Amino acid sequence: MTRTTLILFAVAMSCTQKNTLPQASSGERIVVTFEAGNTLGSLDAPLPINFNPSAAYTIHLEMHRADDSIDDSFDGYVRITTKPGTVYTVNDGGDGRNVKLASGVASNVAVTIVAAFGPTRIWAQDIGYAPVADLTRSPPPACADGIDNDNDGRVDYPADPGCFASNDDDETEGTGATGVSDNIYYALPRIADVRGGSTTSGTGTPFPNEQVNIDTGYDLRNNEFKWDTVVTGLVSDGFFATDLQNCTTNTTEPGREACPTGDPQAGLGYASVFAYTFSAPTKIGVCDRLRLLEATSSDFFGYTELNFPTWAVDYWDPAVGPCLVPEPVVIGIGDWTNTALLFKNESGLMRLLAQGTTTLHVGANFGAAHPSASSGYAPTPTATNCDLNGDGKVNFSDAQEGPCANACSADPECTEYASFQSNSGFTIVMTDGTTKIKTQGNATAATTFDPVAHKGQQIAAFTGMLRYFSGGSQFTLQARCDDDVIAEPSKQPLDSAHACVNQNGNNPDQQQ
Amino acid sequence: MRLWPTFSRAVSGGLFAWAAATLAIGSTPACQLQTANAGQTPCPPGSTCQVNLTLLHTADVHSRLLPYELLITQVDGNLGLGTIGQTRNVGGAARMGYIIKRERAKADRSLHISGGDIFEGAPIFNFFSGEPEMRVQSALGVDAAVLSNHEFDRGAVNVARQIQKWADFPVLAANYIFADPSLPTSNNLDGVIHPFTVLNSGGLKVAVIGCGNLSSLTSVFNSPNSFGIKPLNTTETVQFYVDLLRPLADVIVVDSHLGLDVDQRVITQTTGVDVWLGSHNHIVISPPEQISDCAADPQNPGFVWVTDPGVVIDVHKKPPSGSAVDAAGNTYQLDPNNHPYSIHRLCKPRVVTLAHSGAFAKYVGRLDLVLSNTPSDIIAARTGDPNGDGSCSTDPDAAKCTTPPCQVPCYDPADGFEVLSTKYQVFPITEDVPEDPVIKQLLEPYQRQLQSLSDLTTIAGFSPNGAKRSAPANGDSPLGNLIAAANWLRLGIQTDFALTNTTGIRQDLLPGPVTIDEAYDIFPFDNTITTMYLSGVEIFQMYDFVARRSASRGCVSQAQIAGSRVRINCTGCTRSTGIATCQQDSDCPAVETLGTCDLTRTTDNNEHPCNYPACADNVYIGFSAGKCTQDSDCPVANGAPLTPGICNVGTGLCTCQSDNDCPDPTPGPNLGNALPNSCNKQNNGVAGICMTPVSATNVYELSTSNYLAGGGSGFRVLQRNTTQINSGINQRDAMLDYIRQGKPCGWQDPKITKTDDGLTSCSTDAECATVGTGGFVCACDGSSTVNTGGGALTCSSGGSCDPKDGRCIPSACRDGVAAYRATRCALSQSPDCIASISPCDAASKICQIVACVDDKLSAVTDNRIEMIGR
Repeated sequence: MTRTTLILFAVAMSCTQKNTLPQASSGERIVVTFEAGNTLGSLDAPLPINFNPSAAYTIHLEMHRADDSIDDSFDGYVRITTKPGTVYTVNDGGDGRNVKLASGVASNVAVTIVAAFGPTRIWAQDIGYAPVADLTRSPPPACADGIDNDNDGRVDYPADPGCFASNDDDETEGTGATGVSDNIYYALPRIADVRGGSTTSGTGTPFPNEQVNIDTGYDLRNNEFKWDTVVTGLVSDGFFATDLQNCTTNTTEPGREACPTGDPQAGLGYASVFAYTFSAPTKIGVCDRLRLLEATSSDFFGYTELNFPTWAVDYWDPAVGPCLVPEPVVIGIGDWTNTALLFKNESGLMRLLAQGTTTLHVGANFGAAHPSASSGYAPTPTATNCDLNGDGKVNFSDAQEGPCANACSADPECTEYASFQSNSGFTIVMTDGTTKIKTQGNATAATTFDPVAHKGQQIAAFTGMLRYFSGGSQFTLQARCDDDVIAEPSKQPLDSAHACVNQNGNNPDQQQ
Repeated sequence: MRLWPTFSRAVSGGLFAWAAATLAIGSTPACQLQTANAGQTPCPPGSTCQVNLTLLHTADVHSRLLPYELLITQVDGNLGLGTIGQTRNVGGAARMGYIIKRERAKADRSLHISGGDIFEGAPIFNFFSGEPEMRVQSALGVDAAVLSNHEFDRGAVNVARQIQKWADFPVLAANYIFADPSLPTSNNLDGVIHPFTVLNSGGLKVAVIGCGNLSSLTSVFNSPNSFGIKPLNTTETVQFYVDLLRPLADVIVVDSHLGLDVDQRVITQTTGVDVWLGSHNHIVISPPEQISDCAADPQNPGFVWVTDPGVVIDVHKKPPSGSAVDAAGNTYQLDPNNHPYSIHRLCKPRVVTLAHSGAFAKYVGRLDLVLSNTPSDIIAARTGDPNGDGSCSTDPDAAKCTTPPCQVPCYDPADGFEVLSTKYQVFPITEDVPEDPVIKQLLEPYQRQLQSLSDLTTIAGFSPNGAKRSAPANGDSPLGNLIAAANWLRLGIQTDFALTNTTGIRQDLLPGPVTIDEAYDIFPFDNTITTMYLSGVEIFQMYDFVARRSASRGCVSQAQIAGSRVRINCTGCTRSTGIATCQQDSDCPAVETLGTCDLTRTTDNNEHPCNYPACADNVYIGFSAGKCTQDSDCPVANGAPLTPGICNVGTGLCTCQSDNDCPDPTPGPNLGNALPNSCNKQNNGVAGICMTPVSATNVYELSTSNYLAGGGSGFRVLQRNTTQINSGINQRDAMLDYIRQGKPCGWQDPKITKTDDGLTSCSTDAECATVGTGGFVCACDGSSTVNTGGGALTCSSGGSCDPKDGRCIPSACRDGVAAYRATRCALSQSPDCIASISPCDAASKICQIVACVDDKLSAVTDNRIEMIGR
């Protein structure tokens, strides 16, 4: 078999109907270069992630013909974008994000970009757009004048595909020529950056719907961990990860600094995130260290998630080193109402703990029955189901269901049963004798614990991942497995190195 | 680029033999590579350069060639399809055509890649078998498409015929081998499907490799099968064609219908693909994923497994094991279990862009690429050195360097152009998008025929609140329960219980009039109802399979049922009695995965319980209501208080309000304990009846779809059943018949209403104020006036009715039905159209007749499928 034979084979196999007609190209392309004096960073010394529109670059644009000569006949606009990130202004915004090339050239074009991270390139594309700033101009722009200016049978925006917008002064199509700059090297975001630790105080990601390559601390080129990002929990539709922020609770571990107050998240925070995988994640387990974590960051009803993640892990081997999952942050009596603190620990491992004068019990008002009309649909200890019409949800605008649910919300002992059926959240009351705090837990992964059967009963501890939902009860502790729910008051929870570490991902069979 | 090892592997493995045979018989028409006569190269002669390429991507159109109404979800709302929670008119091929032409106008080199599943999902497919779908794809200017699972919904012969007649683009599937075309039973797919195509876009040679679906075509793994297809190992196939095409093509694109998880896996286990366009999951990945290839072992990237070109495979012997040496002289261990007969092939990790662009003609994806074959561009990107001074390593093992300082691998010219940067946009197809006149004209004859051939606009019912196909607690859904009940209770079926697959329900039931057209959108498949007898053991096996499949999909139930209740455990299995006891692993029954015998626990019969990764902990079929004359006659679970009013003295039967009212009657350690999830009490407070635990030795009759009965979606426990009877009753027809048998909204016992039709008699709206939960109006012929100003058409009550004719009906029904009937005037040139059809009067009559699709028709969840361990 010769390579010639191989090619003939490929030719024959590629034979199809329509593709026998090659598509023509203008052959034009845009050359984007940086003017002198720009600071571009490097892989080894990247620029800090730019959350503010302060990073300005000066670029030079040339339209080139197929033979690589400058197309000096081109007098038109090209559109400027950047990937990743967003163009904030171009030349102070006179033509929006568009730049006019004169005789095929534009020099000293100032581009300000924001929210860029990792290797970033500036794009220039000729999309056939000639913006007109004055919409009251006479005559109106070609794409709003009621005339088929380019004689293609289509008139104006949006009917004419050559019109980008109604203020486009050119109905003809652009060349489609495109070019990109060299890379500007920004640092990759860490989990705290994606969580908005320094930008939104954790209330939302500064990279909505952006593909992010998270810096987990693993240096691929040198095959070493600069710090650790560890898997802290698995659930049926995703996993949780925490950036240990280059500190350790194991002070005997060489080369690591001790965490402030022994808490990996103290003083730092925003270090945890949930990766939504839709199906149960495989080949990953609690205690594994992440080498690679790439995903689309987004806010799902206010909860920052990583969607469509891809990952690679360093499997935890108890024979090699300790499990690095940090001990849960214990929630004090006043902490549950401190939303700033909770946002800081969102997706992190937290714990409700009966200690000292503080006790925990499952809310006493919790039952599948419906409140009666005679009592004004007010919940009772055995009747907290406010889905009165049985349609599977509580309608807060309904004259009966709304007040019923609101009454339950106001009652520190009440769990609305329809919501419990829907999302498994139930009330855990924390009290120190004087103050009574209503918190919410989710024990669906702790299959031996039945919250209804334990209503009104004290529990010793409830550990879980802190999740947020912008509606309803907002924060919920989601237990990872039976280890996280300690019902018997005489028992103590396991330490993090042992709790829930045998979830499916650490099955050696799955690691093959 | 090492070409020969993989290619030679194909010779030994049979893939090449098939390819050569294909050439030899001439089933693929001969043609010439067109790059030479194109007269254009991507770069100036003798130079390297940067070029751009735009890939327009559509996928999973599912016959949504005509615009349709959609309730906007959060995902669709965030992507710009409309306001969340509102119903919007979206989709349509003519609108899609406009966007594609517009975006092509804004691009230089552009290709339109179709991700397949263009068939099935709207009535137009049921009536025309894919002809308009294929014609539209051609009119859209599709450059390449992948053959996908739903293309086979009318059989392999049909898809071959439609492609042959109407497709002027290549349809691809590299991972299928088709039946020998010389056989009289050949379906001719071999003659119309290609493994790949090479497209010339402005001198840029773009190879597109097709990967057909395997996960949803489970029967292709049977030999023989009705498709005449033999599936190939996807990873090996992709690598084979990449190696084959690399010397010829500048860019390699994979057009995949494998599904996201397989896409991700194959990318990491191959090397050489530039762009991967995926589909099948109906998702939009915006922006696209960037995945490193050449990482068969993610912890040790830098190689992929390829079949050893020198190996002689002897199926009677174990594959070689032990150590081997790679091209760089490194020793490694062979993997006879996961990669038999394979060796390490070194490669350098490159980033592959993976995009998915949605479904149901809701979106068009546009992926802009800037590519380069200039070494300095590529080295600069890898090193971060903008000068790209060539400080790279030619060591074949460079990618696996673990001892700093490490150099990046040099650019290999055999890789052609490499992607420097990508930009992705997704364009929603909303009602604001103009329609392309060519596509619109193409579809008009089909629309006319549809109107004359069918009764798609017939209103079968009215849904006050809609019914979702997704379950609020991941188990049973309102729409799933309605459909399962319709199958279960169908005259002539009436089995012990019914089961259908969740994924077979394709759309929510929207609030408003329920039409035949909508029924096709909800249930597009022409599946029929099959009945069969199953033993209790087989029912456990069936539900255990549902549990495992559900657990792997986010603990969301993959089945919808009626006449049965089940408690599915996604995190394990606490069932310790009945069939699942053992002395050793092989004693644990399962359909696909054998359970493990838990020797640490002992059951009452001195055996051990079987452990499963997920299972059905409790299964109930049939009812066990005891007779009673007072509450104390009814049983109660150990330690639970007697529920007042539990005895229904009217029927003389015990009811239940919770599982505490349903104690376990089985002798043993659980005797008298509450049976979990056995009380079928509805969520609306109506008392239920205790259901009966399934007995391993009993026989039960099941009704299900002929698709599941044939082993579809992996239900092999049903496939092997020999008692099957296909009733020939279409599932969609059963659903419509079930709805038609329902009562109108506001219906009560005629003894109460004192009217023959069970509706409340009235003369004014005020008399309807106490009917139902409110929102009722008094309607009779001539009592309503039409409001057309300010948005959607509505009706107002204009006069009083004779109580003999006036009936209380929901205001929403009158408005909704009237607005629906008025849509026929949208294309009318007559200003009097609406007045001529009197939509409000018609709606007033219709709403007195058609069924109310609500909880009385089981369109409500009752936790009959309880998901544990979500």
